[in-house]
Order: sequence, then C-alpha cells, then structure tokens
Amino acid sequence: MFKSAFVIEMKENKETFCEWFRLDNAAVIFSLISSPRIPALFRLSATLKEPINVKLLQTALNRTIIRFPYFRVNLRPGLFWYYLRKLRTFPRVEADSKYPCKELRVRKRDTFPFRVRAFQNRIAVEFHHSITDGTGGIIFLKTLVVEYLKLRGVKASNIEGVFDISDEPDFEEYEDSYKKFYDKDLPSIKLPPKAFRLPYKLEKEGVYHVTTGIIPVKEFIKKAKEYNVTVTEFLVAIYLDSLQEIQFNLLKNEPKRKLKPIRVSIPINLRRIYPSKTMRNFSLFVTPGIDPRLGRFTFDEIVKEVFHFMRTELNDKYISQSIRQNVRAELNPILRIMPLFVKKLFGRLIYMSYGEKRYSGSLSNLGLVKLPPEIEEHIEDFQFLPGTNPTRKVSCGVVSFKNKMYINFGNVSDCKELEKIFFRKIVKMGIPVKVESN
Amino acid sequence: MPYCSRCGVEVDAGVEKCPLCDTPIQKLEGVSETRVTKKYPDEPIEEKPVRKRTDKEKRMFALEIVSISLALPFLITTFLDLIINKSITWARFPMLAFLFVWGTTAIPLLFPKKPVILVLGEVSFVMGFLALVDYFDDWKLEWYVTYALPIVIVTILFSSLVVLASILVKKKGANIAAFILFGIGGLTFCLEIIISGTIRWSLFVLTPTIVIGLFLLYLHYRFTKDIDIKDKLKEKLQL
Repeated sequence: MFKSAFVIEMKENKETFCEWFRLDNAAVIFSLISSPRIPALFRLSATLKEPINVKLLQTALNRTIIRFPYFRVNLRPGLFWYYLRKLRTFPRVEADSKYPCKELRVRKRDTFPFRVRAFQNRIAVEFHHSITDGTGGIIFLKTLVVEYLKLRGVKASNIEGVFDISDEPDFEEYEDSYKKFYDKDLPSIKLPPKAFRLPYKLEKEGVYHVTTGIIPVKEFIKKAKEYNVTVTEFLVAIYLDSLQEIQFNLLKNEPKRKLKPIRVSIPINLRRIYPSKTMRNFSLFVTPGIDPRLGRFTFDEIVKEVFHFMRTELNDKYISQSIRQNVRAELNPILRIMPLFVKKLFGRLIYMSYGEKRYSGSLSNLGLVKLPPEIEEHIEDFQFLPGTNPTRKVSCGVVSFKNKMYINFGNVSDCKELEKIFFRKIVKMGIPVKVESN
Repeated sequence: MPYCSRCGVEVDAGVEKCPLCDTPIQKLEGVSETRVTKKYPDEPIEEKPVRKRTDKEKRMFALEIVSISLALPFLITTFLDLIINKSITWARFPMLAFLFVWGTTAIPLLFPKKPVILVLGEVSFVMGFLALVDYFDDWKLEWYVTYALPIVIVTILFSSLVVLASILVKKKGANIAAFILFGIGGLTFCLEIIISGTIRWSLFVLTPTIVIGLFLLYLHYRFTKDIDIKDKLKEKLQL
C-alpha cells in the first residue's frame, strides 16, 4: 500500500514533490545522530594527472549539480522528522583540510549536505549520509570528474555509470527504495550480542587519521582465488584476523570468557539485489564474525567462516527481513508522534547501543570504478574514506581503480595498531603494499 | 622506492617515518633526494566558530524583546480608551501595570552586578507603583500611607538585613537558616503591628523562630568547623 501511494504521489505532484521530500529510511537515523563527534560523512576522491583548476571545477560543479537535484538540498527540521528542502543556490568548491571528514553543519540553513574540496590534483567530495550512500556518491563524483575533464577539452559521451548532465533527472532516482521493498509481514530479527571494540583513546574532536594502503589488484585477486573467495570476503577475513590478534594481545592472561565476539559490518549495495535506480541511500549491513571465546581461529577457518556467512546472508529473503526491521521502526506510530527534539535525544542513545556497540569495525568495498579509457588516462586514482565514530573508532573503505586497490583506514583514535597488523599481514602473504597517510 | 624495515611496506620518497609503526625510514646513500609530494594539506581547516552574543548583547536583546512586547498592549489599551471615551479613563491601570513590569525587568538588565542601584531602583518602582494605584483610584492617597508604604519598608528592611548578614559572615551554613528564621519572625511581628496595631498572634511565630534560630546558631558556631556547605551538599547529592 505504502509503495503504490508513494509512487503515485511522486508522479502526480511533480512540482510539490520536488520542492521538499522525506528522508529515506537510513538517512533518518543519520539526520538525528549527526554531531561533531559523529559527523556521518564519507569521502570519495579522484586524483587527476594535472593540478585542478578551481574555477573550471566550480563551473563543472554548477553544471553537475543540476542533474542531481536530490543533492541540491538542505536538511530542515520538521515537527516530527527532518526533511530535505531544495536549494536554489550552488555549492562552492572548498579548500581541502589535513583532516578529512570533519563535521559538516548540515542542520544549518542553506548548507549543502556535501562539500566539494580541491587540493593539488585531487577532487574530493564529502557526503553526509542523509542524502546518499557510497554508490550514489561515486556516480556523482564520476559525473563531476567527467564534466570537469570535458571542460578541459577531453572528448567523451554516453559513458556507462556516469550521468549525462543534459538529461532530465529520473523520478526513480528520488525513491526511498527501502519503503518500496518493505514487506511488513516478515518476522523480526534477534539482535546479536555486544561485540569487541577497540579500546584506544580518542583523539581531539575533528582529528581523523588516514592510512592508505595501495595494493596491486591482480596479485590480491590471485591470492583470494587461492582460498576460493571474493576480494571483499578475503579482505574481511584479514580484518577479522587482525582484530582477533589485537584482542588476544590485549587480554593475554585473562580467561577466555572475558573475550568478546568480533563482528564486522559490511555494507551491501542493495541495488544489486533489488531493481532500483535510486540515488539515495539503499544499502544494508551483513555482519560476519568470529567468537574468540571458542578459541583462536586460524586464518583458514576465518576465511571459511566469512565465505559461508556471506553466501548465506546475501539472500534477498534475509535482506528483506532486515529492511522490514528498519522500516518498521520508522513507521512505528509511537515513534512517529514523538516531536523531533525527543527523537534527537534518544536517537543517538539507541543508535549507539543497538547499532554501533554490536560491531567491532566496518569494511566497505565499493568495488572497481570503471570509466572509458579516454577518461581513465587522465585520472590517477579513486579513493574512498569511510565515516567513523567514537564507538567504532576505525573504519575501512576500499575502492579499486585501474590495476590498483586503495584500502583506506579512517581512524579517530590515537593508535594505529589495527592498520599496522592488517597491512603487515598482507605483506606477509607476499603482496606488495604501499602506505600513505596524512 | 624506500621501504619500512619493520612493516615491509613501501612508503613515498622523502617520508621520514613509517606511517604505520613510526620506525625511521633508512636513507640510502647516493640516491638523490626527491621532493616529498604531500597527500594532504599541512593545516587542518577549522570551521568558523558560531559567533556568540556577549552578555551585554544578550541583555540588550532581552530588553528589546521585553520593551516591544509590553509596548504593543500598552499602545492598544491606550488608543482603545482614547477612541471609546475620548480620554484616558480605565486605561490608566493597565498602562501603569505595563510600566511597572517594564521598569522592574529593565533595571536588572540595565544595571547588572550593581546591588545598590538594583535595590533602590526596584524599591522605588514598587513604592511608586503602589502609590499611583492608590492615587488613580479616587485621586487621594489612602491605604498607601497606612498599609502599603510601611509594609514595603519593613519587608525591604528585613530582607536586606538577612542578605547583608548572610554575605558578611565568614562561615556559611546553619547560621544563614537562622538569619532567615529571624527575618521571618521579625517581619510577622511588624506586620501585625502595622495591620491591627496590637501584638498577639505574631508572638506565636516570633517565639519559635527565635528559639530555633538560636539553636541553629549554637549548632553552627559550636560544632561545624571547616565544612563548606556547598562541598557537603555536593558530597551528599553526589554531584
């Protein structure tokens, strides 16, 4: 019922619908919890072969943003929920900072929920999660980069995965696909127990350590093939193994029952499972993990665990159940009639105890970014910095471009132990790693 | 390309320490130094802090709001009376009330932290207000002289004494409660004299307040040594 009403409203009230619209299911929680400590930002960047001309980039941005009206918005408070209201202004290109992903005051009037930054050869876009997820973000960045290169005189047209700025935005791009694929008759899910978390001290607000590992894709795939798993599964296995090592090092002399399960949240792009063209959030998490209370897992065991877990969980039946869980919470009548300030008060508390405390970390793989060769020859790399928060402390974002894989760790604590163990493990497998940081 | 000898990872040319383990990167002799290509700017960009109003600006803003929100009903009542009766008749009472509210709020906003001006100003506003209410009624001063003025003076006197005594004593504790009790006792005593001219029921208030007050003073100066009441309260309430 909800689905059809939503689509009809969209098509009939073309104008009014466009002036303001509701947040999607995932954006709701990010709109409530966003704060200096939890910026809810993620960052996508592209490094070109030549220094950026900021004026041209501004022109490219002005042209691109018209094709993405659902990003040209401002988060406004309503009586019960935040909503997005269209802006008539254009976003400005800003200078880059030593620490990326610092809080963006999204609730301020006339503030765009994303920012475009330029530094030397690099164009970076930091998105607030209230408008889109990584998949939507990468389409925007690719379109912006292609538009910029066109202004520099590069010839290109009709590129797959890049929007043509002369096209009209499709209404399906506005859609809240969670609600479209919501099936209220499914049973609810039991929450997993609390997981192990990194105990490191937090850095000052706004400090965000980046550690980038650059790895040749081919060799990594070859290694993953040896274990018969995908790149993401293999990365998750190394991540879990590193977390296990940290936990065992910390609690060396403690009894086993003091240990806690290790679970990593892996965002899944739901557009691959459901037919959806939405440019807003449409991803969910699966959470593979191990329980060190049962003893130390060997790497082979972890790989097996992750492999089977991912293959089982990545089924539209389980995913539908998770969607139902999240959407149902939003549609709960008691929650709906609570005024916004009450929701804000409890939002963070609930997110932290129900969401964050059940994961030890997160790893998000955007996969391979592909562009036609005439464009690719002007681009050095694509990188993805994940958002993080004080509970999770360290998050990992992965993206591949051409023949390199870029593994970025965003860290708000003062200890880089996880990154160190993680990359040393990859080096030990005989895969060369190049490390950069801010 | 340089490597970290501990982690085995490659690092950029010119980097001094390994980004993972802080081990110094060995410099090879004979290899020409290449310039470091920075991946991020050296300086973090700080968001412009939100400009906060100073205390004075806040007070002036409050005064502005109070003045405007009182001026509106003041003008409405005045003009209504003028239109209906062609002169100020009943409107003098609401006008007076609005002026009184404005004056009593404006004084602390205009003279903060100046206790003498504050007390004198507020007292004169109260006295003036009461006098005018009495006068406006039938153009004569009646109850103002016999009741209002003495009650106001007595109340101000006792409360000022209590406050002064509380400020002047070094150790603060049960003695302040005692001063308040003395104040209440004294005030009731004077009120009865002003209202009925005799002394009867106020003695029933005065006696216990004095006895309990003296007991509190005894407790305070005999037993409490160097206990700060604030610290003690914090400890008890576990703040």
